[in-house]
Amino acid sequence: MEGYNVALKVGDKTLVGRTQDDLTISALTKESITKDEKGNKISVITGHDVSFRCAGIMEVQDDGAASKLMRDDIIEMSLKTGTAAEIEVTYGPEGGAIYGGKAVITGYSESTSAEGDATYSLDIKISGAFTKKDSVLNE
Amino acid sequence: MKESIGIKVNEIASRYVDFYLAEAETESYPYAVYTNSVTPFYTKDGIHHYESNVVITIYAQDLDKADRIAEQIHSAITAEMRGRQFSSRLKSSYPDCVEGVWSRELSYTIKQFG
Repeated sequence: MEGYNVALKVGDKTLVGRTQDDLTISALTKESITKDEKGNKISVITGHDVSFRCAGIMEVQDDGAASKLMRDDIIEMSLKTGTAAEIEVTYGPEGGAIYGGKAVITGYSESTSAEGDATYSLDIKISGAFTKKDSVLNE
Repeated sequence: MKESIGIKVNEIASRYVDFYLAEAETESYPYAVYTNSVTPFYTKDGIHHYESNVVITIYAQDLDKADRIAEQIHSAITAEMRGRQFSSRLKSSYPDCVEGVWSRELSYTIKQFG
């Protein structure tokens, strides 16, 4: 499968100029040891940290594609606090299972060199459950 | 998005000198030839922009003449290939002389956006 088939959406929009969406699921474990384990630790998974790192080329002017979050939209979202900072994300491949949940933006950065493209990266962390959705992404 | 870097460069440079792609079709000086190596840059949504390595070589019977034409072409490219649709950056410029024919080579990175 080519990577372009996999889309991360915030609400019903994708990020502008998107070149990469990375998903990381990390298990949260609790470790215990009893005399019966004979020195071996037992790990129990108590939950998961789910996060995304997205990257793309910066665009400030909407080319008419209302289905995209432009650079200014992303910064505005990144600066929100409290419940206003909560976003809905869905993620998955075209034709495949889609997962989603509530999330918060934990980081935003831009890179602008004199000779290269202006790029951004965005860190998103799932807040609560990350569950399988019934719908399938259209992109 | 249709790639049009070569068309635009040709339109600009042809105002100042007989201008040819890859190989000259004249033996009369001055003239210039150019090459245009285009690479598309993709995002997940398709081609985001084109990036091209454009090399323009101006041939003349003396270096002053070649340099005057080179300056005209460079000024026009810099002025006209900028903004939302194009960006241009001069990477190198150097003179040469082979068998009494002088030349000035200009090498650019030019981008075309959608």
